[in-house]
This record gives sequence, C-alpha cells and structure tokens, in this order.
Amino acid sequence: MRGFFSIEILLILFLLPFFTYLFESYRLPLVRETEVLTQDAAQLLMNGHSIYDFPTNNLVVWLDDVSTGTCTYQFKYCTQRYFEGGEHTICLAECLH
Amino acid sequence: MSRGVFALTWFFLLSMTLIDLYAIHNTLVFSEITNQGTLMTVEELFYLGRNFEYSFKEAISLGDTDSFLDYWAPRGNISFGILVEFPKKHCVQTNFTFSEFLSLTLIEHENIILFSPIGVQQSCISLEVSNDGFKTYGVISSLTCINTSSSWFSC
Repeated sequence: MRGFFSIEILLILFLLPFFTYLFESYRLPLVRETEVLTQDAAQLLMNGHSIYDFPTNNLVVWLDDVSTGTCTYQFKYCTQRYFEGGEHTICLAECLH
Repeated sequence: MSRGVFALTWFFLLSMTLIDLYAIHNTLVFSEITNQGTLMTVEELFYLGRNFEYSFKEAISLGDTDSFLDYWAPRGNISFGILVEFPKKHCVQTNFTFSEFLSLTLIEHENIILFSPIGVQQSCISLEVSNDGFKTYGVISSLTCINTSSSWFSC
C-alpha cells in the first residue's frame, strides 16, 4: 500500500492549483464599466471640461498624449471624439489600489 | 475492492470535478469578455459616424470643406446626393462635385447656415463605416441647421 499512498500524495499535489483557484478572491477586470466611464469622460471633454476635472484617486485619464497621472491598472479603454479641429483620443483606466 | 483502488477512484472523481469547474468558469469569463469586446466595437463604430457629422459642421463654419473630404474619404465609403430608403439613410450619389453640391445645398438664412434639400428631394452626405462585420452610417441630411456662431450645435 505504500506505493499507492505515494502516488496519491503526488497527484494531490497536482490538484493544489485547482484548490487555490476555487478559494482565491480574484479581481476581474471591469471592462464594461471602464468603457462606459471613458464614454462619459469623452462627452465631458467635448463639452469643454479638462482632464484635470476628473478624480485622480482611482482614475487615470488621457487626452491624446497627456495624462492625469500614473497608476497600476488592469484594463485601459480608448475612444475617439471630434472636437477643437480634429479627432482626439481619450483613454481611461481604473487604478487597482 | 482494495483500499488503494477505492482511494484512487475517489481521487480521480474529485480531480475531474475540479478541472470541469475550472473549465466552465474559464469559458464563462472568456465568452463574457468576447461579448463585451463586440459591444465596444459597435459603439466605436457609432462614435466614428458621429465624429463625421460633427466635423462637417466645423468644416462648414471654418469654410474648409476640402480638408473635410480629404480627411474622411479614406475612412469609409463617402457619398453625397439624394437621401432615399429612410431609415437606412442611403445616399444616392449625384453627378456634382462636392463643392458644387455644397453650393446647391448650403443656404444662409438670418446668419444661420442651413443644409437644405435639392429641389423637393432631401439631400445628404453620408459616410459608410464598417468594422468586424458591423456597419453604420454617419449621415448629414437636410434640413440640418448649422449655427455659424457655434460649430457644434444645431440651431
């Protein structure tokens, strides 16, 4: 029986990653939420607001190459709007912290 | 059944259950992200059409219609002429050049520029844009009112 027991222990070790997956609290990227926030931000920028009007504690906003700051994020969404003589790229990301 | 065989059978049942759970979860997450990506593709297509409409108003207010045409022609199938098949908003190309077409359709009334019909037929400028199997139109159709004091809002 000692041989069987050793094999079982080995196979249980293989299963450990699946156990951890079941119990970990994984943060899903909120893709749709970020996209909707980006569309709202783009609309505000079209209406004359500045990127610095947005909260900087949990968001980073880009207008073309200018951003409101830096942070670690999982997902960044970009859209394009026509205002002030051309198409501008507006991006937004939600910070992980 | 000896104890070892029983334990192994139990182990394989448990492991298959865990692996199936993982596979199901992975499939759900992957399909959700794919669906959201499709939605975003469609939304960006809509905004591309809307950008076309906004840029026309600005081009008219700046009198820079040549740049407007040069900018948008490579982005999609642009046409100008008579509006038919509403609500599909299909523009039937006329034989006019773009500047001739604008000289016929743009009229000024009390300091307001109007994009007007040609005779009794509605005129239009449209840009057909497509991406990833989806298609939409940016359409400027008569009676669009273009306020000269603001390039962004109809009056």
